[in-house]
Amino acid sequence: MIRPALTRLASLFGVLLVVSMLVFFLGSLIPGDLASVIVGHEGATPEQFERVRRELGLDQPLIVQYLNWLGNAVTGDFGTSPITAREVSADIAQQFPVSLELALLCLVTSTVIGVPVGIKAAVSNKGWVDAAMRASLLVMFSVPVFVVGILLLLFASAFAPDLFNVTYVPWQQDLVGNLRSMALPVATITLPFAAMTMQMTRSATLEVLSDPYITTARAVGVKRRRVHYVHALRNALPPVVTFLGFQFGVMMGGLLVVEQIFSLPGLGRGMLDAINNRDYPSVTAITMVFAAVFVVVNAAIDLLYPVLDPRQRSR
Amino acid sequence: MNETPATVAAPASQTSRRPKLASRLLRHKSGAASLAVILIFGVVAALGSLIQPFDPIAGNVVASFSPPSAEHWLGTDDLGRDVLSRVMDGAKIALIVATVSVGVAAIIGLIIGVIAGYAGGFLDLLITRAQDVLFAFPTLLLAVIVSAVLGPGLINASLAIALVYIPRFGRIARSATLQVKHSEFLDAARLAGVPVVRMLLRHVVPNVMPSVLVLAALSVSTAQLAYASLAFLGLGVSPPQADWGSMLSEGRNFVTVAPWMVIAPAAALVLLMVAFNVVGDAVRDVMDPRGEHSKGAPIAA
Repeated sequence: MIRPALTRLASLFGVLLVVSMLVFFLGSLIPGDLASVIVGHEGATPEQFERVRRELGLDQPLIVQYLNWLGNAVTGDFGTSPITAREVSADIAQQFPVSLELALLCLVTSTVIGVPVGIKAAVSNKGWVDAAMRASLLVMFSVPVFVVGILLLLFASAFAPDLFNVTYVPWQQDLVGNLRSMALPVATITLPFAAMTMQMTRSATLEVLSDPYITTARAVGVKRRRVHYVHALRNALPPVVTFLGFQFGVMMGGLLVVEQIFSLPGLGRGMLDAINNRDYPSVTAITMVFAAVFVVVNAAIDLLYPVLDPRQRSR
Repeated sequence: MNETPATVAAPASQTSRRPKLASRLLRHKSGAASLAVILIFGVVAALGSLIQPFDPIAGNVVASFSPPSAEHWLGTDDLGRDVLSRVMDGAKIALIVATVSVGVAAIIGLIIGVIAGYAGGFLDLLITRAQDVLFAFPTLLLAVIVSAVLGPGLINASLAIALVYIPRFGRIARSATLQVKHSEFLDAARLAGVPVVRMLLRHVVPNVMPSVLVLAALSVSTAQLAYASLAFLGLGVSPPQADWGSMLSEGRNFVTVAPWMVIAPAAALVLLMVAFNVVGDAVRDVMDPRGEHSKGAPIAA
């Protein structure tokens, strides 16, 4: 179990390295460099321009720039933002917990809703449950996150003013206020995610329900509930978890949109602001953070697989 | 939307099958209905200013925020522009992006995938690894970064989405190529001395095409969604051009004052997406009765 974990870890760094190159060199393709962002708008003389470029090391070959950047990035130093004049890593340290909280809350709510409902749908023999699920799924897949978000906003403005246009408060300060500011964003992402989880759980459960061990469990008189929620779920879970891992990237895209709609000061919002301000150090840094989280989560799920399914363990 | 990839190589044997495919698609009830919906959007987009009640760009500050009325069926926005005209004008953008991005991705992915699958060896490894890296990235995030690099705009956003979609076409084309690579008819062609390029175009591509077409049909709706997300984030066409995504992001600020500013573009967007979705599923049902292609993950939730 240790060896595959190590190879997975190595390939993880490989992917991140390639991503860092891509991001860095793509960034260098953007017309106008950092120096023009810093002094460009003040009608600077070419001499000033050159001086800033030299200070930032922009006069050096691209490879040298990349290696310098990589060397600093490994130590967590992503440079200084030309817009806010703050350290990029300090900005990220503030934005990261917001997005993390949002993502974790969404994961919890969609699992808590999606898994039981999925099992219920699988074991229910009423046709309308299945039909209702299929219809709701089609809607969920076809309604974009930002439309859901705006509709929820519209709904809140009319019926739940407590949740409308709440400014974000960190949970350390005020837990209730924090949850209030998170309610609509979480609901926005949870709707499609719970639907997808439900669908996956349903089909995975259906598959195991016909297995002989379920029949045996029923035959020896194990309670119906226990058969469904313990025996069946145990074997239905691995594919559901893998699927959630695949969808994690989609959720990160959702964060980008949701933070924009509800003005949450998270990573996605930081990324868009950075793009609009041509704040390159922040764009590259946040991209790397997103990529790292995504790659790590997927690797973690790969490693979780043998834990959930003993048959996957190497003998 | 099917024509674009098909122009790469349309061997004679395929042309005879196409009308049959179309008629089967038309017999697919929900597929035909959705096709009609898309057609209506297409007609509205094509007729453009001929049927738009107002100029979608010209503002009239006096009439700003007017609720739906006999004059302005869907009301007006913050600058007094007619929402109905803007929604109608936005259809053009939505349709162009969806078809262009998927078309470009399908063609490039097809070429890359067939080459990778047929050549094998180092080239295959290189292409597959490059695709893995692209896959290792959350799709909307990748599209956002690429459009940030290219700059906002219709063509750039389409290219960004196309780039994100290339790997999945490349992957499916590669595996389909591998399936036929060692078949007897290819051996026969090889022995008969058919040149490589001709062999790929005449014998490999026609066998790869069905999978690519199915994937293309399934991808149009998610591509349209991806563009709407980009536009919503401010990376689509530049204002004042009407666009559903940017209309929604503008309307978000006035959601309490003028909810009609968001409801109309949202409804249009969802309607067209459902239609594309259903048509995509119908194409899959019709072309691939075994149903072995699972639907690609949506690019943005």
